[in-house]
Amino acid sequence: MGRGGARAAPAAAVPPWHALPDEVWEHAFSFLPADSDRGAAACACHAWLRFERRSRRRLAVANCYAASPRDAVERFPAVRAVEVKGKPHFADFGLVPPAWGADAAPWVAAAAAGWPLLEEISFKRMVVTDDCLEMIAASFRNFQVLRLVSCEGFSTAGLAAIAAACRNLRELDLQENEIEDCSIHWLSLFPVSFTSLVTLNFSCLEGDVNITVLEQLVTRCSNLKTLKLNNAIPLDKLANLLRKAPQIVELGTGRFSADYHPDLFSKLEAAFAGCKSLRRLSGAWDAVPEYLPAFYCVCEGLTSLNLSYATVRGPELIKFISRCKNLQLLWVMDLIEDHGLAVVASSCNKLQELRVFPSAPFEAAEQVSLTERGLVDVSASCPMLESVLYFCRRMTNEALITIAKNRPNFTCFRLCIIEPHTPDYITHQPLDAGFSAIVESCKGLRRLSVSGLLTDSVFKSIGAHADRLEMLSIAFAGNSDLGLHYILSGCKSLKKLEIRDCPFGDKPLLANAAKLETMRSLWMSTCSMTLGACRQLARKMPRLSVEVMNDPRRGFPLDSLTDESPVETLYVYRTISGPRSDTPACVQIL
Amino acid sequence: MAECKDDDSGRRSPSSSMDSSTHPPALSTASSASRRPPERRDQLSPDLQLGLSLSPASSALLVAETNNSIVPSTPRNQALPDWPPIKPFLRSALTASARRRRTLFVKVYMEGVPIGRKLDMLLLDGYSSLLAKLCHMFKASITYADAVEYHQRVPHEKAAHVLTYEDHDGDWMMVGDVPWELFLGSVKKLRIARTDRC
Repeated sequence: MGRGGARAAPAAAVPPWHALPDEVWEHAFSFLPADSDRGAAACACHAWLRFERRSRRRLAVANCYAASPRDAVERFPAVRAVEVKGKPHFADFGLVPPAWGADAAPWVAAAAAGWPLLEEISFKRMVVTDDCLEMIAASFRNFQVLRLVSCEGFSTAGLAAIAAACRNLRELDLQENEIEDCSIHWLSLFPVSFTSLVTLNFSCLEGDVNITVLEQLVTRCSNLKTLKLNNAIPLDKLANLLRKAPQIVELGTGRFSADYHPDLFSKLEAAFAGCKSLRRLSGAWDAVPEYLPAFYCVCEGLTSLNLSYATVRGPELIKFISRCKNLQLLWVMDLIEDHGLAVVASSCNKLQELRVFPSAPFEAAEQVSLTERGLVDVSASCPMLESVLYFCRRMTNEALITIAKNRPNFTCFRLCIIEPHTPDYITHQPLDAGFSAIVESCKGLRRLSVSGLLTDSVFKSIGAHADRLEMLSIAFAGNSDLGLHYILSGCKSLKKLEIRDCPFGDKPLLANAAKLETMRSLWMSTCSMTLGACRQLARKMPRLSVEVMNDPRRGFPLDSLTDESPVETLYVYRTISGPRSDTPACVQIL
Repeated sequence: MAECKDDDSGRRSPSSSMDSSTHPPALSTASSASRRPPERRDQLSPDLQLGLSLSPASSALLVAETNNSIVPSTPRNQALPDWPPIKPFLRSALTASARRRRTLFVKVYMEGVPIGRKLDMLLLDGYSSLLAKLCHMFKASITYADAVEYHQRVPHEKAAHVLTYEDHDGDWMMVGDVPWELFLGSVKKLRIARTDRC
């Protein structure tokens, strides 16, 4: 949300362009799509503030508690598309208490009251109930896009309400939500006359859907471009679905395993051969090697391949990927191993984003040969590579230095060495030099996650060099307060900082309190803060919301605790609407 | 192979606790977590109790089933339920697939190394990948019965170790004496022996 505020213009002679009618100005503002530009323009004068707020069609709220829904609706009355994000990012990994908050209901209620023409809603990491979905279904007469990412709290009954009422729905995009399956045939509630669907993604849904109904829906929605199935859809149904949607651009297959039948294989192969526009492929749950060659005819066209749920390995996997010469995005499990990544390096020269996920993250022993080697090879051969998420068990400073030299164009570098505190496995040194090389070389780096054995010295480098860094994730690193001080006193563009299990305490927090107001949020858990410092921070910075989360069994309410009491989790964010009123028992706002 | 698996799984539970001790970093992590709030340590107890309550008298079937869910977990995992940072969907997909996956864990011992390690044989596709895996695991040059071929491939490297296995009759054999599939059906244990002792 833009943070425009009116500045009083000097009462000089009114320039002639002030006489233009408001409609002209509002039209002119429609050529300013970026929120930051709009925010800046709105600061110019009262009139521009008015034009901007009246012409704003898309609103993104990065923290649902940063502004109240009613204020948002009041300030931007003409919004058609709204995106609201809730819980902190660490909620993805189970660090945020389940009852923390981020209820979507107040946003839905405010939107229903103030934005009757709303067409798009995106919620990320929010609690969306069936009541919310029913209200959405009932409130907006031209509703077109519902995108829910990492949300929870609803069931297929809520989806049924959307299907039944939203006659112009273009996108139903459900990514990684926890959806309760009420075994209602929710897909069958799309009316027979309904044909507008462009995106249908229910890959996260557990439980069956009615295949016949799905086939009919896919058949009549002739503009369907994205179809992502869940893993309850068996492989033998895929060919039929594809034959009915040969125009498909993005496909998430269902379960990709079955006993081998030549008939089924040739049916699949023929169906894929008909999908000339297919560019993005995902799903492939439990893929078995025997069926991978069915993809061969679409490999050339693929720009995006997400096999992060495909536990397939071996030569068939590597052969398949090596045929995808035009890949820009590749997500795989570490089952690809170093030698598979070497093949990726030589085959996929257009690669821009690589993610390698661990197949056995909870086992102490190494199950696959995936080391620094694979990443070095890809970084050497893929000149457009700019985003990496890489889980591995071994890394060296030398490798990181090579990678930094190879790819100064990284904008996102996230490395997770699975065992905390792992040093360079050859020299047994901390990985400071390696990560320092990354921030020194990659001037455009916007997102960084560090792991392995790290001392404060790496944070000195990050603070001094990572000028464009917006999001930094730190785990099990550093040795003193100095580490955090380097980051908060440097990193000019930092927006989000998340830290867990680091020996960072009160001093750097209080010394850099003003920095926190320029940032969107700070998360610290299992560090060394005390309640006294958090109280002091809250007093010093009234526009910050300082939330403290302690185990309820360990002494709540906070009023009874002394300033020396340790704070388990601290979450700080700026807000223009004051402290929220829906805090659960495990959260206290200071 | 079924016979072998039963035998293997019957002994798996105690071995998993032994294996954990081969990873000092895992233990040091757990101890570094002593500052944590008590609930994380509380979460340890059910799992530990589950492991302890597996009496040797349990039926083989029960042990085999429980083992399937125990094998992927280690003490480190239980101490840090939220690390490594993996989204819940991938996490549960991995758990589900690990549960579905057939496994054939055998223990590998190397002469001179007091503690054994475990290896899932079904993740390998033949003798050469077994050898590559073990060389990597134990940082040693190892050969097996098909030694002529091996030395042709790596002429300058002289293997100091040779791979042997215990078959279902309890006899120690040279790895490579039977086709891979037969080997999978009879192997109970692997031992990396020094060549000068063979």
